Amino acid sequence: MATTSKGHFVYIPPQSKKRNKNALNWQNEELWYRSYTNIWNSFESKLKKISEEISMKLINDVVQFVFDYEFTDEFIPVATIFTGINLSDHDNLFSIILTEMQNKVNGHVVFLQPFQSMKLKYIIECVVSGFINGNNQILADGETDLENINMGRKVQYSLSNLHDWYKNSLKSKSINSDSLKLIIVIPDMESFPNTILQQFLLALSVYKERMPFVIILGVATSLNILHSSFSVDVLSKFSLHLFQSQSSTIFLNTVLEKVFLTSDCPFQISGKIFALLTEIFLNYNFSVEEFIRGIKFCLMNHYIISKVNILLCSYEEISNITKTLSENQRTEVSILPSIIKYKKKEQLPDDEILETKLIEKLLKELHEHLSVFHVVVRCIHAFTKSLPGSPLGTHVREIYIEAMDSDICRTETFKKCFILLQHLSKDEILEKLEITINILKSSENYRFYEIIQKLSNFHETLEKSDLCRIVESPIKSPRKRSVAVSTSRSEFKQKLLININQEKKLSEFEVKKNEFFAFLSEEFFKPFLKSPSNFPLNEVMIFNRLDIIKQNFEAVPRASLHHAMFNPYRYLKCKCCKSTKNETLKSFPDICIAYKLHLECGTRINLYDWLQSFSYIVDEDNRDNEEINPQVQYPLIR
Amino acid sequence: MDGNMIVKCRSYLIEKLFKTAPFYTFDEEKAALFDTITKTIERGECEDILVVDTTCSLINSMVNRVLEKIRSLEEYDGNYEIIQLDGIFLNDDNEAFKIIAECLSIDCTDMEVSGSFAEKVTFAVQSLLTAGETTKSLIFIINQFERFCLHENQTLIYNLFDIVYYKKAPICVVGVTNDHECIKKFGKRTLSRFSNKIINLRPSNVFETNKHALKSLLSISGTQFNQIFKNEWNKNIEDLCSSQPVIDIIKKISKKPIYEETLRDIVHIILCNIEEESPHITSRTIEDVVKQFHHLTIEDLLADLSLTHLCLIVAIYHHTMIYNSNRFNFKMIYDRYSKASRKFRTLPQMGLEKAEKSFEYLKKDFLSPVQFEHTFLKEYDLYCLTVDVREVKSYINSEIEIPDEIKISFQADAAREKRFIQFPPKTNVVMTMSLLKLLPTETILNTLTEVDVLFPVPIHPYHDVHPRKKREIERNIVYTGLKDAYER
Amino acid sequence: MKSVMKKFPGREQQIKLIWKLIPENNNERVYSSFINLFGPSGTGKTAIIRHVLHLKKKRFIFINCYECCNLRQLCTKILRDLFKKNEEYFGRINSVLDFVTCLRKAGPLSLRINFIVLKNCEYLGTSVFELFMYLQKFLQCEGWNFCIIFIIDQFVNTLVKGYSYTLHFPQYKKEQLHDILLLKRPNYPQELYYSFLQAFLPSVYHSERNLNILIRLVDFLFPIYKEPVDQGKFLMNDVSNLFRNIRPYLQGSITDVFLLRNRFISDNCEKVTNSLDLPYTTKYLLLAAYLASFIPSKYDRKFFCKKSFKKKQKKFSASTPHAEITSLVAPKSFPIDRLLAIYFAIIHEHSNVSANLLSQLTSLVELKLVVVAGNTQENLTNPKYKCVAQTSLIDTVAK
Repeated sequence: MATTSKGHFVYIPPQSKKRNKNALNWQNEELWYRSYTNIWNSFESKLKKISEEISMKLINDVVQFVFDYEFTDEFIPVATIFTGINLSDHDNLFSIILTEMQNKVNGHVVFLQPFQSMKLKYIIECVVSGFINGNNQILADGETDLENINMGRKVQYSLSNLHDWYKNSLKSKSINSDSLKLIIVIPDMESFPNTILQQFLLALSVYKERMPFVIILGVATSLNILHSSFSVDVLSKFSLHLFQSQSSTIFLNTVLEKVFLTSDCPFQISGKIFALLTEIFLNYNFSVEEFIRGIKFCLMNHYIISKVNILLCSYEEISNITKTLSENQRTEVSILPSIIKYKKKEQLPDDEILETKLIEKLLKELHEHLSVFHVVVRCIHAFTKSLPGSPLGTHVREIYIEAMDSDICRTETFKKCFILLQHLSKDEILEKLEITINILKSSENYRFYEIIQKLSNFHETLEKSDLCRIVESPIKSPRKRSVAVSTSRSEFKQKLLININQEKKLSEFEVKKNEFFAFLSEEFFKPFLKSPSNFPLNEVMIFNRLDIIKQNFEAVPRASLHHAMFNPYRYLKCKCCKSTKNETLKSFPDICIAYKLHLECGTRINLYDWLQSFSYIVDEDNRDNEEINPQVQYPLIR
Repeated sequence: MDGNMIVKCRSYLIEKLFKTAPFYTFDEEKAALFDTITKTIERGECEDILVVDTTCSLINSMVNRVLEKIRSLEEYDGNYEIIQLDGIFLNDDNEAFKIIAECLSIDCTDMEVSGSFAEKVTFAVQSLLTAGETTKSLIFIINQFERFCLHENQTLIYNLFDIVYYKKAPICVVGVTNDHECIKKFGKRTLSRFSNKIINLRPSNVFETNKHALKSLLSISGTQFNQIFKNEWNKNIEDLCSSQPVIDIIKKISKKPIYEETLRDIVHIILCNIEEESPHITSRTIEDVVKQFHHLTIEDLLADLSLTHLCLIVAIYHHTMIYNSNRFNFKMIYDRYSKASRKFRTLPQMGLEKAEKSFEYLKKDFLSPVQFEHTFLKEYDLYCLTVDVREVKSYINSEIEIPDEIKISFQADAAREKRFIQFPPKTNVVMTMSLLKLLPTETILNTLTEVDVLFPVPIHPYHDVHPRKKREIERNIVYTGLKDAYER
Repeated sequence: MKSVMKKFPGREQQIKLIWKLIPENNNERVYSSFINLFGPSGTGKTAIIRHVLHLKKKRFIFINCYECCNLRQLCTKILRDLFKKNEEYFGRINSVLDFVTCLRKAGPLSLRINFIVLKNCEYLGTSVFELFMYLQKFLQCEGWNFCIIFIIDQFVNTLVKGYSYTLHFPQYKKEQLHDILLLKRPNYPQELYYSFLQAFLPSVYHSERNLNILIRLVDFLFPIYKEPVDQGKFLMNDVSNLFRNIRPYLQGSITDVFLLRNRFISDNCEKVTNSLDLPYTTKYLLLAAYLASFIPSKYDRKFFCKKSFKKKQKKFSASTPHAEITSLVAPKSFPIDRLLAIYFAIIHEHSNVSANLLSQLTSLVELKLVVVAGNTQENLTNPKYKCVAQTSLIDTVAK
């Protein structure tokens, strides 16, 4: 998906490596690299686990289906998996299926990649050689790699070869021969030409009585495509079984909730970048892999852009790392904007270099806050997700985006949420409260002990409180009831309204409820949901360079082309092209000069004038000369 | 009659049919071909001849008969070599040359590199001529001659003709083809060398030959049967062949392109029908068998269709009638069908998917693709009907099993939705201003748009304005269906 | 012969003829050089010929041409089966000529097989018939003795030319279907099954006559039909009630032909699989592509250049009614610029053309919803596309 139709490429400038290699000494580089790998590895292992968990149900279903299927003469079973369109994530899914299949099902698996299949004959050769050679290598891998194909070329496999082979293998392995299955996995149906796939399936159907084929078909779009691409002849030879894979949005949410938006993850991304990445995901590609790659990119960049960011590490390692900080680095830490703010607050001198101890302390504080922060974000989520209109969004990530960059408690939507929460019924509130308590308990953070205690108290009182019993309202209305005297209809009406508003007696439950929400917003959410980006040293843990991400992830081909032409230094990074002002240098590439000149001239350009001004810039020595040096003329003509 | 005898008789007749029975047609042509070949063999003359058969069935057997005859003549033994080349197997001249070399048992490996193709051929021929003490004549029988014309530069046939033309060696080239336009495919070079001798196989007096053939193929002779049985059988056959129904049948099949080979097949089936229980061949059995040999008709194909298919066919018919074009895609047809089914509720209902599959089924036998450009979407591929619409119509109207609603919708809809009348070019048609406006300028065909037949409004203006021309206009209206509307 | 006829009801005439055409004695010369069995699929052609050949103890080979991608493979396959040898034995068969020489080398006497049954031969092109017909005649002259039986379900013009015998297998009639279906399922309770068929056949017959599909339908529907009887809800002879029970399934399977969907696929799965889950922008891009290919460019100004509040309205109206008006002809191709223009017209915000957007176009192409029209190499600067998504799909996306 990287290439676009117009042939623009996202050009990632090589600047990062070069510059930083020079700047960092080797030891430090090793250090940052180590912590980088540490973090990334922990990410990766978690990701793997999650993706396996998520697709496990589907995979188990499919494998079970293949395992259970009893062969009849009539049909070839086809397990159709609707995978959704996130193409780049498919490989993962199918590789898991492949391994599972090899472990659990007695059979041979061939993986049919679309790029191999230009012609029917070639597909058949691939499949047959996959089966036959796969067997020779003790069931190692069904995938037909290049070598196998080359071998296949010589022998010219056809389906009858496969049949011979199958009979032989039945003879040789007499034990499990009953349930031996030949499984063909076609991960991406759309990329096959229709007719060819159809012919292939027809060819298989010839042997349906003699060989137990199972086909696993990955379909990215919808059921319709099966309809439209296969004729009745083909369809009537197969029995289709449909499987639906998890939609990738759900996948993304789980990944986020379990890996990135957790308290034990040291690396944080600022809300805006996060929003950008999710937007790309939702609006453009639905690819979790791409998203993760984006986060990886952030992580890499984070270490690269500043030496200080070495400090990003897991909680346990903080003291170790801070000890290794050099004088230089500490100076750099001290001039971070957040530290300067901190200094102002603590009334430390501006130019003071922070002590290692202090850095450590600040870092730990930040860590702790973050860990609390995430838990509380979840609590809010538990409270607000089912509100009508969902002002704070239905996903954790949406609240996270809000809360990360600014204090969420001060926003309008947050207040609106609380108003909405007031209207909830008792059961709902209790239910939510319970969920929150559970979340807090499961986080096992010492700072929540008190809160949990209080919350469970609230839970108790709320549960006991009666909905009907009216308690004296805390705010006494100054006026007495005065319905009796009424002069006009409108007046009467107004009074009634006033009465309703003012004289409403609150039930016991309502009183308690108000107390509870006051506690919730003031004592619970407000302190814990303080935006981490206000903390000192937040730059170390939170990646917030939106510009870099924008530049690299929201590629705008036309604009970037323009930039490249206009200011080649941006991409070339050579000294000769460095120009501060908006001037055209001789040392620019020819095409840039021509482009700039062309820009100056408006919509239409006289070719001769163009050439003139071109030579004026390029050919400095001959400026006065009327005749243009053909050597100068050449690049423009070209 | 003796059952044993019957079985014996049957196997005898079958044996005779395929082995000994002579061919009854094309005697003259056979003789001519025989003459040409024998001339080469006897006198070493150079000949080329093209045998063209437009009826496509008999030609090979005819040539084979001639060759058999030649082979059977002992006096020519060793004087000739027959080389058969088949265009259907040979994709290019080099392959053909390999065959030639093989037949002449020449080692062609050392020749692979040297020389042009022409040199190779002449060398091969020459080497054969000089090898033996007596010169052999070469007879090239080239089947599917038209395919050799497609080979690059027509090298092989040119060279062979060239040898003949300059009489370099005693060879005889017999081209055998089914393509009557074969000569047109010759290049200039080839044509200049060709002697233009052509035997055209044109069946003459088919009826007589067929009758004769049938009789002689069915009658028995020989010693293995006793006289009584023989007489009885032959008498029977004689009577049968001169009986009126059989003559009718023969007349009927003589009209169609059924020739002797097919007749033999028919006889074969007739013979297969002879059993101990029913020893006599009757005109009835012959009729049945011939009916089976009748090529499949559209009725047969249509009878295999289900009602949903028929609905689509009807929709296709409507489409062709209304738009006067034989091209359509699935979308158009489905559109038409759904219009009809809205009108006639009793028509079998089908969803889009079902219709799509039914249409797909129709593709097999009734539709052929028009557009070769790939549209990527099946429903937009253009097709045309391969069968005649009128036959479909007559079938649908005549068949009892088809429900009435289809028949009715078939007729009614077509008449109702006819929207264009075509006039022959240069007819004087008077048009109202509104009609004139609708016409595109400068059409060869004067087309009246939006003439609704059931509401004959546009007709009145004609005789209102020009009453005298009314008849003339009527005469010029091409589409006959409209005339009914006038008279109504 | 009687037993075969019993096994295949409704095919008596055909069986009789085939029986006669195939000689009793194994060494007897086979006279009819070809037999064409023609008829729609599911009329018993293959089953009958195999059965008869088996009964008559004929040596034959049976090849379904579907498994051969080209003529060469077919030839190889025939040789393999004829001589029961591996490919290495013959060497590489490159052309028909090789095939013929191979056969001739082996000599007519080596052939112990009298019948070659070729199924679906039209799959490899009609010229194959011609080839084999000629081949057979050719070899017959050299003393070979075999008969080729073609099984065809498509009307092939070359066969009509008239030198071979075509045996027509017509589609079964209603009564015959009834008999066959009765015969096929002896393990069901006889009486119940019979009454089921009585009700079932007339309701399907008009739309479906293909035996294979009918059998599948019966397999699918009969258990449902039977269920209430097993549960004791209805009596066995309460046909009308029982039949009402399966009517919804019946309707569904007749109208959308997708009978292969089994009962276990619940409705929700179906819903999910019918809708297309696309990212937000991609959806709009697809809609734009659809509009671009079905609305002639002369209307662009009319539809997309009005004030922005009208656009939304257009968006919804355009996707459905226009589909009806214009979709009778094939989609037109459109340049990428037009696509983007329409895209920005129907999406409200104005943003830059980003690589992400363009990459979505490629992923649409990958999904075969949009295809590149024309030669891609030729116009890198202004590629043209065509929307090939189905209208129903677009409708669901537009919702």
